Amino acid sequence: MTTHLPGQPANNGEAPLLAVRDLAIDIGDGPARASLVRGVSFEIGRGESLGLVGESGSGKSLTCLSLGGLLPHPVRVTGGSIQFGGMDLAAAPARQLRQVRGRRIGFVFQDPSGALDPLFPVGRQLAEVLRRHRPISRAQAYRQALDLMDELEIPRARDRFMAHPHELSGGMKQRICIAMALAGGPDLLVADEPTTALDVTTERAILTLLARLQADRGLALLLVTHSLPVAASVAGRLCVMYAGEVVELGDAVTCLDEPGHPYTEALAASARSLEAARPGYLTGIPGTVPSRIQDVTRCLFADRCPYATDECRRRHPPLAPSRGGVAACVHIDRTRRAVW
Amino acid sequence: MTAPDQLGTGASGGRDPGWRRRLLPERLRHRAGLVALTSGGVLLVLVLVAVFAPVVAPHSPTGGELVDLLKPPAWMEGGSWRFPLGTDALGRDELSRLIYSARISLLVGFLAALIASAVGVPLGLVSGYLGGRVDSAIVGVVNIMMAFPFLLLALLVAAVTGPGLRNVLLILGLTGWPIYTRVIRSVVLELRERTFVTNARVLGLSHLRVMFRHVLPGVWPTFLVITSLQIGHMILAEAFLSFLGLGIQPPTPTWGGMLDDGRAHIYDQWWLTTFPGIAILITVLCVNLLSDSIRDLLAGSTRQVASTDEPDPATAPAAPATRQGDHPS
Repeated sequence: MTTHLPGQPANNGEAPLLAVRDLAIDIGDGPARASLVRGVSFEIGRGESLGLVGESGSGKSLTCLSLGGLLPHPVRVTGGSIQFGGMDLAAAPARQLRQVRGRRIGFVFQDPSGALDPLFPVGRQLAEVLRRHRPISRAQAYRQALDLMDELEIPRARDRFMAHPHELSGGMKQRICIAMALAGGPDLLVADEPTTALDVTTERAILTLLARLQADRGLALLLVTHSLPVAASVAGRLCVMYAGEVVELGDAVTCLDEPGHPYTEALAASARSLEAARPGYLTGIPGTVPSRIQDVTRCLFADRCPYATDECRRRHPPLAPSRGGVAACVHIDRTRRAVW
Repeated sequence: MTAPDQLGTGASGGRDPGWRRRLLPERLRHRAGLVALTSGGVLLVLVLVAVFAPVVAPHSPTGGELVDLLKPPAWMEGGSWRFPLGTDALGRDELSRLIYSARISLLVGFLAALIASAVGVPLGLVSGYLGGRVDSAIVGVVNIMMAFPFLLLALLVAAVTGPGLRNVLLILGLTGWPIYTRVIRSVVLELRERTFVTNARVLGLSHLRVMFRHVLPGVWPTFLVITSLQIGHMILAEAFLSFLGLGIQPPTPTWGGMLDDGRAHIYDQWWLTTFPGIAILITVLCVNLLSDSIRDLLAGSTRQVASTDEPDPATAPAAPATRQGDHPS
């Protein structure tokens, strides 16, 4: 890559593991066509972790799904490229994508209860995935499945092996799901809100586990979440999305402390007010994400932004260098006011 | 089904009569379980009688003496216990013919349902799972098949292949599969959207593997219910075809054929039409009741699997109370 964007990982001259460039995702055709994701670019280096943050409808899950060619019809990639391991996943044929899914990129989803087949013991499901990816016997697959369950810190793995999903707690199920995602020995793990369905104690345990796995296995991690602090606690860098666009991309701690985009600032402020836990004093962001985007010649956050000026409504702000990396706001150098 | 507490939502464990608690496993103790046991038992007896027809039947179903023609049932004036249910216009024993007919009816019922499902289930699975153009094509054919008049198709097949057992199976298989395809497809459409199916794809499993290993098992309860209903329907349809002379040909006895034979004598020799009619009624009723109660029992078990809050089936009600009055008891 010759063009090194600010806010991307220091690549030491070696190509990043995953490079998303100008990704565009649309739904429908003709007059019913609408844009869901526009101009999304980010990179993940080998063994690096990136937190993808944004509220519902910001396009973060769609971005994830597009990495596996998993967009549900009639949603599809209409522009840009997804470079991974020497191929463009956005243009790869289904056969090639199948070789990538599970083997090179592992996926973990939000709802662990739904992600496991209710009719089979979890250990056998894990073994099934292992055998899909390696030429091993059933007995070997069972042994390796038990080893994986141990690695995922599942206590009494031997007893849990023959348990059906409904017999396990949400946290245990999510561990099994992560084990299944790791079964193919992927270089990149995509976790789409892996802790949203879990309670906070379990959430902490799963996040710690993910961080450990990432370090142990040299795994690259793309962690999608609603929560800025959660992303910052696990990921080294953050990518904040709003209404289908990247609004800020950069170092996690800096983004949290000195946000370059008002939206990041607002998310951080909401999280802080949640931490302060004074009932009735929760800070939110007024308004909602625009649902059908027609006019992209203006800042899409302008209507909810306290800094917004006429200039914001006249032109679409490009990504420009900020304290933590890059941010898409014309007021990056604004004097910080305690608005939120 | 006499005690008032059995007619309702299923008695609680404590109110079961002692013999039920001693003899039956938990899930068979309540209403759906009892209905399943009773109808299943009657069907089992019918199957046994059909299998051992040569041993059970007092006479040959095809040979008769003309001196014995049109004898009334044993308990009527002029009847004798040699022919418990009387004889037909050729002097053949009505009871023996009923017993031998059970062979054909049950065989056709099971085989035809098997053929129909062998075609219909894979098509429904593929149609629902793959969607798109494949789905449109299959659904189109299904709609045409379902709009095609049954009798016209029966006549057509009979005209081409000639009547007979093979013909009956062909007609019933041809007309039966669209039901399977439609219902299985709708179940698959729902299963396909479940996260574990997406997840299996995401983990790199092939379409075939996902379809047969993770989607097909979910279809099983629905399959059982349609099949049991279809068997009843097939038995009726076979009787109908034989009654019209398009089905199995004489001298092989079938319930439908017997109805046809008895039609000429319906005012004077009522037993010639009544007994085959009762045989059909009992068989189809039992099959339908069995199918109904199977559905209830399966609904109970999937509920328990789905909800981790109720691990103990003894505390859960046995049958949903939403369908009271379904049974003509």
